[in-house]
Amino acid sequence: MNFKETKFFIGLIILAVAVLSLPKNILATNYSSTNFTVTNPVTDAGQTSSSSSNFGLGQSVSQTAIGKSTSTNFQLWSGFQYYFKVNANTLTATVGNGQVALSWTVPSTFLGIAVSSYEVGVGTTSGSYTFTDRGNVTSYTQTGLTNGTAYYFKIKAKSAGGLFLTFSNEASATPTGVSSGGGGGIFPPPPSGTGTLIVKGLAYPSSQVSLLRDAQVVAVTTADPGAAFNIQLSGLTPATYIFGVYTTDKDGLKSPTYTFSETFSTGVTITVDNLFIAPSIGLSHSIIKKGDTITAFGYTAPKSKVNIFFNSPQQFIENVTSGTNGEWVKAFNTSVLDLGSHTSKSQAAISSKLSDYSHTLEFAVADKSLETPVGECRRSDFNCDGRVNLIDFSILLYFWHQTNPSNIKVDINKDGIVDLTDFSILLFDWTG
Amino acid sequence: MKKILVFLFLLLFGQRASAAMLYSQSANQDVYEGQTFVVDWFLDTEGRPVNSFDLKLNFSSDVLEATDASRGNSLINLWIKSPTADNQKGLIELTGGIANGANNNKIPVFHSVFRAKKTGIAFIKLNPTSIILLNDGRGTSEQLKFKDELFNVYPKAYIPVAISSPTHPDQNVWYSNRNVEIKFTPKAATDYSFSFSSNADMIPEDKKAEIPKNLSYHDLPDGIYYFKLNSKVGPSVWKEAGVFRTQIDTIPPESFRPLIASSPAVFGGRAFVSFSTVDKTSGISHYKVKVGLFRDSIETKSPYQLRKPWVGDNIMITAYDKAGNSTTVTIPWRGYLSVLQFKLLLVFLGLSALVVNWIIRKRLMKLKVK
Repeated sequence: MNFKETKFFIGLIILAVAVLSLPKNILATNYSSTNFTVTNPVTDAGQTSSSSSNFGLGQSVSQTAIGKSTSTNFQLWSGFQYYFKVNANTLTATVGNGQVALSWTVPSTFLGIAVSSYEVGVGTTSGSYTFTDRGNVTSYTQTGLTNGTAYYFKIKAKSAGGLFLTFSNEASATPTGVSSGGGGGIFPPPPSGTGTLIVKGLAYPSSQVSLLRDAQVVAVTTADPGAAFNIQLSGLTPATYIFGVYTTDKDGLKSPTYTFSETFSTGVTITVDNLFIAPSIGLSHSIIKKGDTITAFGYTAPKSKVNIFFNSPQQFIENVTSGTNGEWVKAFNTSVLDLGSHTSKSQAAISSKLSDYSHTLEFAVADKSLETPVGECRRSDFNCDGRVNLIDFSILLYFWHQTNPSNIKVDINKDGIVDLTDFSILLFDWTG
Repeated sequence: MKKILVFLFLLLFGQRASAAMLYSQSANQDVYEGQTFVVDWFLDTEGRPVNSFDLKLNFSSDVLEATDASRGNSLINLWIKSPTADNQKGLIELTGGIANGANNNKIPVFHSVFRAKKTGIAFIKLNPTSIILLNDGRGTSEQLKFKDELFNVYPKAYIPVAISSPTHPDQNVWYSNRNVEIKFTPKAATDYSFSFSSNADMIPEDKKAEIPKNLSYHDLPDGIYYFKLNSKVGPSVWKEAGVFRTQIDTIPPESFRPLIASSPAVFGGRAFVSFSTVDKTSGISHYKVKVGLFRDSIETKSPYQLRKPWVGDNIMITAYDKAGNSTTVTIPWRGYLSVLQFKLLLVFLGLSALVVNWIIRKRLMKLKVK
């Protein structure tokens, strides 16, 4: 080998070492070498490539002890071991008369798997469904349902070989023929336009999230166990709408409604993202004896820091972290509060997100205690159906401007007349 | 220097007195005798959510006639009292609210159209008894600001240019035709500029425009459009020469879901149906309700007290907008007999009649044979 050849080979070796030492992106499915050293295997099936430079090879084939390689029937396949990954899809349910229209997104799939068909799960209990194969579709109308009964839906995505891939979120809906006023979700029929609204954010784990359009509930979905929710409303005609979003916790306490207005033109999709719905709040006592402990409680997203404000001339701020189920409880000794009326509210924070304030509850510090009554109808819910909606508005209209009405609940602020103040309180409490 | 510092301090840290403001938008700067013109009303909540109001507006009833006071494309979703105008008193009244409140600087509240009856100065003022309440769960009263509106009504003879539309001739009517043609006859030695927009604030440029043979606009989305014409003679300044309004509404009212309920304290415990919807362009005109198979459809309001019909399966409620577009929803409400039962009863009665007829005939035949 002459000097020139030696230089050439040294250069080639340096180049090869340089190339081999570069971090690589290797596709899990791109494996063809028959003579190799594993340097950067795929580490995350959710990504189709990896550039890790710090790894361990978890599996290899070798003798288990000296002279003890006894398997007589095995094969070593060339290539990395990898798995497909499928992201959950989003299900939306819209009610009709005796039926519910379901529509869902196509799940994102990775590493060589594809969705080939869907099963629609239907049940009358949350978490329990009977599945039926509906083929490769992304919408289906479940008919033959009983009006007034709450139904729960879930979509199961399958591969061509019938392999289970993923479940969607659970969506619930109550078909309406309307016979006794209120009850579950009372939705207008789907509109016929082309605009779409997508609302995403955090509620409470597995809580029911309601979307209102111009004072009427138009969609309901269930947040996932991590409290994330995603509601889609399509078919909006070009116009400006007022929307509201609220959620209901496991104890039936409702969050404040987050309202916003959006203007739609033809074919436009508007996404309202990163909503963090305010915590629910309840108090153990409506009147508490000075020095006794009052307990505030509610729900928010899991592992959130919850600030609880006890307002008197001086504000006291307590904090607690919510559990994995989103529940938070905080006891507060009232010895620092003066006798008289006080209020309490809460606010949650997670990562860099800060929720709105919860409802503000009133309580009194006195010389005796009175627990908060359980099972009483909310103010503004005149017909006690658990909702504040058109029926309650109709009842208010019936007594409008009456003094000392025979239905004393309608005079919400107890000033002896049904007037604009009562209307304002009803609108504040509105659930649709 | 000290004054400047105080001013800067107040500018930076001074608390602005919060108040909601009711304001109007009108395409017309000049009004001529006999003309109609639109005034749309908006609410600026100035950062604090409000949810209900009781508004009264006074106008010069000697100069103006309110030909329309209506919901229009209002975002108010629950009405205690729809906008109504009293031309004797010169008063417009409305009471309504927004479920869960709203906080925005331009909330459409209502739509009004006035006709200038005679020349003079006309005003529209807020009656001091008007109330607006915060969305705070207590019905706290919020201060309401208003700037009085003044209109100069000029004699009819002063109308610079007569503008018309063969496709949308009446400026007060809502049409379903989405193609608009505009006509006017330019005067000699006069420069013109024009604009056509659904934005009432849009004004033509101060720049001469060539007037095409056909002024036409096609496939327009629903809304109110203003053709504005400005003119200039010689070296004078540009002036408003005319405004022509065209109104298009092809979309029916929003779909809705009525609720049936009964309450011991309301209507003597009898069932009633509650309904409400909105129309995003011309506004809801009225509702009609049809209960049962044989009763007529009647115009009514919510809540509507229900009487059980003899025969029927459903209640049909139709919402009409001001352009005549309608949305009908049907909800189950069975009469004493369902329609199927009624049909079966008719078949049974028909068959019974046939059988009775057959028996009578047979007996008559027997008697004849005897």
